[in-house]
Amino acid sequence: MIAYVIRRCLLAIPTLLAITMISFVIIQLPEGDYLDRKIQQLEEQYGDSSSLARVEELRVRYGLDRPMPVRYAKWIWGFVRGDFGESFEYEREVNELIWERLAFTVLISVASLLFTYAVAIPLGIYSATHQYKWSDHLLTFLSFVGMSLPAFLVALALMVFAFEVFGVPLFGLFSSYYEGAPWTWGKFADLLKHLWIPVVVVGLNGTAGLMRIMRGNLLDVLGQPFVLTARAKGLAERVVVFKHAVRIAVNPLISILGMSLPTILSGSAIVSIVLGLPTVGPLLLKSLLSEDIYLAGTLITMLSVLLVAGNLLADIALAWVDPRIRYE
Amino acid sequence: MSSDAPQLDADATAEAEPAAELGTLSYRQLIWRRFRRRKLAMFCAGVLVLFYVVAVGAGFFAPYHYAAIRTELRHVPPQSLHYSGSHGLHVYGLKSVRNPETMELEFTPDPRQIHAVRFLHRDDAGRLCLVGSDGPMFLLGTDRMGRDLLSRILYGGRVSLTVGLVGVMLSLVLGSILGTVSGYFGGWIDILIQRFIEILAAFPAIPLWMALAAALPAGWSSIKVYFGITVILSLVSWGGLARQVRGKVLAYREQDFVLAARAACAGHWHIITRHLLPGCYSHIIVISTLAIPGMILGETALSFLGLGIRPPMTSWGVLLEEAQRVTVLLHYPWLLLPAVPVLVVVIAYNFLGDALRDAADPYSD
Amino acid sequence: MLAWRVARGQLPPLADRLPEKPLVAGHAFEGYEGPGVYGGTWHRYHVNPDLGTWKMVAGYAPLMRWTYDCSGLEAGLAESWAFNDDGTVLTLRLRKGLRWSDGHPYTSESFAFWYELCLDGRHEYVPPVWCRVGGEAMTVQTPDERTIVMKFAGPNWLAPLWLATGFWWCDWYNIPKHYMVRFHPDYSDEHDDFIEFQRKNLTHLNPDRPSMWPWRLATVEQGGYRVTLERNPYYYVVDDLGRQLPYIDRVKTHLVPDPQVRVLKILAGEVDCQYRAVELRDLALYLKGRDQGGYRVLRWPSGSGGNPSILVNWSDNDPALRKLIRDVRFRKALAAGIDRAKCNQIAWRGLLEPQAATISREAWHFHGPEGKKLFAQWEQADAQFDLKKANALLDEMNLTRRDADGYRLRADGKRLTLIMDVPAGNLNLQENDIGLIIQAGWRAMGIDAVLNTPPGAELVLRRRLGEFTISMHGEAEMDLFTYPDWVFPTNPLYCHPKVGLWYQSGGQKGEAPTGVMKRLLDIYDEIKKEKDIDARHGLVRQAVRIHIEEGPFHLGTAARLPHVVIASNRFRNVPTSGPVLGPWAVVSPAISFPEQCFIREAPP
Repeated sequence: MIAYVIRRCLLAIPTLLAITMISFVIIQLPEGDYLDRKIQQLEEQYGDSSSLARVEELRVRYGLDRPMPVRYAKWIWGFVRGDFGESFEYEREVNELIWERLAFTVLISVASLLFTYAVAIPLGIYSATHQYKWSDHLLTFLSFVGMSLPAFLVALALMVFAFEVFGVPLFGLFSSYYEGAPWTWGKFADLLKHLWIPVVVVGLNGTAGLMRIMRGNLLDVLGQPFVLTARAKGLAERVVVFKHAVRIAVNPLISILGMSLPTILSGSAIVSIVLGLPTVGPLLLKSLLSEDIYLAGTLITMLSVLLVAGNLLADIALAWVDPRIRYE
Repeated sequence: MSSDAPQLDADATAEAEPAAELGTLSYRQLIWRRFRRRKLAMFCAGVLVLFYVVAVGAGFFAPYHYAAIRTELRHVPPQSLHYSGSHGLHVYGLKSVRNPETMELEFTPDPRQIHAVRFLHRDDAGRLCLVGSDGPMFLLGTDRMGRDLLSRILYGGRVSLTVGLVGVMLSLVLGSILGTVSGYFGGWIDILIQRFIEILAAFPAIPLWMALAAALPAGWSSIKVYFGITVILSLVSWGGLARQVRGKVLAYREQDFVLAARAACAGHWHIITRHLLPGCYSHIIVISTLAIPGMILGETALSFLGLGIRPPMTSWGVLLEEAQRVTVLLHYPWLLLPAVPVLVVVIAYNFLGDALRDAADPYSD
Repeated sequence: MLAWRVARGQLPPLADRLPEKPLVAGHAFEGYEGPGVYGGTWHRYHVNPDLGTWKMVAGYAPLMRWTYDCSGLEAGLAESWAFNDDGTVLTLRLRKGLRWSDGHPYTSESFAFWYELCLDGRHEYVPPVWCRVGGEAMTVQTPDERTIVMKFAGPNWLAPLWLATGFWWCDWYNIPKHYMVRFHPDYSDEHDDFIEFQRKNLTHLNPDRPSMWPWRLATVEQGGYRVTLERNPYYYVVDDLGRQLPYIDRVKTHLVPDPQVRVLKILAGEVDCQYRAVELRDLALYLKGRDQGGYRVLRWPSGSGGNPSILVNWSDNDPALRKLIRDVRFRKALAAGIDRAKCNQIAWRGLLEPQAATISREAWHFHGPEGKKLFAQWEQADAQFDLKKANALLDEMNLTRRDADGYRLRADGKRLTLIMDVPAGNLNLQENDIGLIIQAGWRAMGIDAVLNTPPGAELVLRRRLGEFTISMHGEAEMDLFTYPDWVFPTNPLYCHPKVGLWYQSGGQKGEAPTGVMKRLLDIYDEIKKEKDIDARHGLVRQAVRIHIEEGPFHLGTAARLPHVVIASNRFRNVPTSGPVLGPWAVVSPAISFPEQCFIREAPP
């Protein structure tokens, strides 16, 4: 088991490296670079030529006049030392910008993930064991509805609904009263009140899909001979389902866990923008739109790290659950 | 099991034909028979076929052209059809009042004006359409430029329905083959493919889409652009399918029937296609049918970011994006109607996928 | 808020904090109710982390200011200024007793320090374009604490206007030497370069940096998501009774990039006063929600001459198109093919006025009967939608051959296609809609108009690099002296990217001007040398006449957008119909002294 874990960890490193390389290249594919845009902006506002010289200075300072491999090498070297470079748009250190928002991003993502799995798995099991009954059909229908609505529309609709019906604005993560205040139970409760919209919206798509998969898997497993055997042995239905079938059916769900992470993280980006949340998502979007390469590159690498870590955990969990995998 | 019993009987009576014939049916024919029995699924298939027919024939079914702008008929609420003995099928005309502060026109139906609704009507440009009228006939209202929403939904369906299909087909083929190969052979092939999937999957879709959208030539027509982007999208999303198929194959690989096949000196290809893949079919099908709505929703996300269909072409994603405003939600809610065909298509595809899965699963009866 | 700090001895008393002769805030507008009460917090939102829109409200502390109607200059930090006879020396006199927000005296050393940095090659500042005459930069001397003397190589009559223009210049030249010096490599041991200096010099990010603003930056949280500002105890402006402004203690502003959240915030009554980033499209919603949200909806003039203006690239990359575009008949035909009334109805619900592309009607170049007449002429030049005329003009240009689809063919046999850059629908619905309407119009003339929606930054880049054929931009300008580009091609912007680049780089890059472009640049050079203000206005009008006769270079759609301003019912002293909000150069609403707004808790 330990050997397996170590092996997987070692394999992760070249993956990460490849990821950073490709993302760095891709970010700069669109024509021109951030500074070209900055010049445009400056000139439109200030109408002067002094910015030309100034921007050339910036270009040299940020190393944008060097070829790509050099820029990449500089960045990676800094990365390893914890210096993620500087954001052009915000004119601050990238790590300052990220840490401030990372906590909330992680909070929302983890909460959405928990919500998704906590709701989808029981519903999926229920649906599979009551196949073709009306409750199954109802759940199926609801899950389809959940899956088919675009997240940004649902976010907006929920927010408008909450506003119209309850008369309470629920954007951001805190109401004005608690914002900037020290942490108290009141503030925590306020957070929870605001949190349910983003968690529900981000989790909704995932929940429905996951439920279907769980249901499908469980049905497959329930149709297998060993289940028939277990039933023939006289085991209670519950034992058959939970102790034997679910354990196998959960198998692919664990590998999806690793895959869901970037979806949740960047799917929540759009929702965060709509709801005005102080998270990483809007930051990533804006940095990509303005080709703020160090910021964007770091954010993407962070996401990749999370993904790789998630996959690693998923693989380890898989190996633990299904011993056959270990011996490869 | 007990819930399946009635179906067994039905099966027996339906196939009262000689049992011998059953034995000669191919696998595919078996699947079709079992699929046919699920009434709901057949209904869904029918609905989808209807959607596709209407979408392809939008030029005939739509009462108006989707890009026809009408300055004085903006934000008209949906008009209802009426039937009476004297006038037949008709709609009422509209009278409008201008709000002095906002300068918006507010419409109410005017029962004194009657406009007959005719079938096989020729509109002003000489185009033959299924239903039409000489007066305004906006069954689902109009949008901010006075364009008929019903026509826009029909024309938009053309784009949304066909483009998603292509993308998913590509993902399907790539994902299942590579996932199976990866799971079956194991070893370094597996590791290589897995790493490749991981790397691709680590990219949030957004930068990839943006980068590629920016690289597409300015003069490309809107539909070419979108096909281009969808193909790329599909190439990225096959990873998820591959991973899951791999999981299943890993589980199946050690099973007896595979060992038996190998003992019988069956070739790898044979084992993969005849033994392993069919076991994965149900999983592949479920994933694929779940992926189609994902494609449609992906298209809405692209429109939200401003990378989707370019005007004057339209799609359901574009229509929904135009409805993404508080003003619309509160004042012109009929503009949210494009969400309905999205819903219907998604649900239909899912029921279909479900039924196919049940039909294809060799163990479910 | 400050009284208790004075009582505790943390702050000197008021008399010591104000300059000897403070500036009295002007209030010659409707909506002024009188001197206000102290206290309260101003809640608002911003859209960009650099707080650009906030600086337009209260980031304006220049040496001299634009007047409320932008018809001239009034005293700011400087109490007087004067040129010598030939316009080569400008002398300014600062007020006595000005202080930075940390109490340190504000003297001429700040301007001198700034100029020192401009000349310093290691720093990113360079001598501004307006101080150069004949390529030579000015020299700055500060004979005493309150005097600044600027010597130019030749007459530079426009210099005071430049000093007053925009929040950006005063943001640069108001640099607190006593604070910044510790980061300067020459004065400090810790730093070898200017990187830290530049970072600490950011006025929207560094709360420790002293400023001259009415509210000083107090906290910046979560990467600019939430920003608070507090009253500057040393602010130099007072009200009629001599009480120091501003009245409001604190300003809290949130970063809200999504337009729909902004709408909801306003409806929820969470915004006390917002001048910009409020969309006209949602007007009906705001009007309906007035009572529930407790706010009033005001409409300020934007002074716009084109919402948007259609830019036609004078130096298109395709030689055949270039030739066509330079032919005045082609441009007049294009102008005649735009159905402006429809644009107005569809995109703006008939709230704007269809007209040709112009600068602001309120601009001071057009005061007086002659100016008004000229402007009226300009507004209507080639502004009629006339497809017959358009087709006739194109036929006259020998573009009579058509291909199978009915589109005209160019001289080289290829289809006449024009690619129009339009922002994506979700970013800017109006421009998108107008693009569609124009496309329909031009297609009816036999021109294949293709809409191109490049993503985000790409659109701006194409415009800047001159890679577009047709593009769009909002047009509004009050002063052509300091912002000439809508009429004179002095910068790589709008319809003249390459000629502008030539002028800006001093002839190094870009394309040398010929014909009408050269004439316009020559007129601008004359303006810079002209002493008499009326003569200068006359020269501007001469250039406008050239635009009328040999133009249009920008095509108009609809203009004079009514700008929606939201003010909470408790928030008072807001002009009912304030200064022109469109152009940034004249820093509106700062010129209406928003520091004299106050919050009245009890309803009237």
